[in-house]
Amino acid sequence: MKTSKLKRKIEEKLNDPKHGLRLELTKTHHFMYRLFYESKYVSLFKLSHGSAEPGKRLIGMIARELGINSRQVEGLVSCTFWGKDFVEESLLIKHS
Amino acid sequence: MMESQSESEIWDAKGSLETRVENLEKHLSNNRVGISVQICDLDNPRYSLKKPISLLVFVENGVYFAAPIDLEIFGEGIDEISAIYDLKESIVCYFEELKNSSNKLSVRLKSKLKFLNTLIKDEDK
Repeated sequence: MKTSKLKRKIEEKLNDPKHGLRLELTKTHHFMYRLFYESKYVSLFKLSHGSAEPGKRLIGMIARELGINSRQVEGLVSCTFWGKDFVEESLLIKHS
Repeated sequence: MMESQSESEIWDAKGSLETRVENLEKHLSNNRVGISVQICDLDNPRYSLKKPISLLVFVENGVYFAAPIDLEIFGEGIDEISAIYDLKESIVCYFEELKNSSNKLSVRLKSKLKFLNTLIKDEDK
C-alpha cells in the first residue's frame, strides 16, 4: 500500500454525506484534516507526508487518530470498510 | 562429476540473496522499539509547556516518527530531531485548531483540549 493511495481512500471514504461524514483539509497544515459527524467536530488528524509506504506503526497511529483499528484502516484502502462501517465502529463517533 | 553452476544461476542466487538481506535489514530496522524522550518546550514564541511531554521516537521504512503517549498526533522527519520539531509544530497547530473551534467540538475533543490546556501555556494571555 502506498501512502498516496491511503490518503486518497481516506479522503473518499470519510467524506460521506449520506452517512453524516464530512472531511476538510485544514489550511494551516497541509496534511491535517478535520472530520465532522453530523456537524459535530469529532477529529483532527494528520496523515504522513514523508513516508512513501506506511508501515505497521504508522497505520497503527492513523488508526488511533480515527478511533478504529489497523485492520479497519487497511479496509478503507481495500474497500472492505466504508463510511457507514466507520460510523458504526469508530470510537470517535461513539464518544461524540 | 558435479556440474558447475551457470553464470546466470550464480547471478540469480546473488540477486535473491541481496533481496533477502535488504528485506532482513528493513525488518530489523522496523522492529526496533524506539527511544523514549521528553520534550520540555514547543519552540514557539507564543506557547510554552507547563510540564514535559513524554514521547516515543522510532524509525519505520526510513522515516523517523515522534509520537506522544497521550495525544493522537505525530511528527515525522528524516531524522529524530526533525521528527520532534515536526511534532512540536503539529501540537501547536492541533491546540490552536481546537481552541478556535471550541463551540463545535465533540465530547472527546473537548476533553483533549482540556488536557492540552493543562500542558500548554499561552504567553499572550
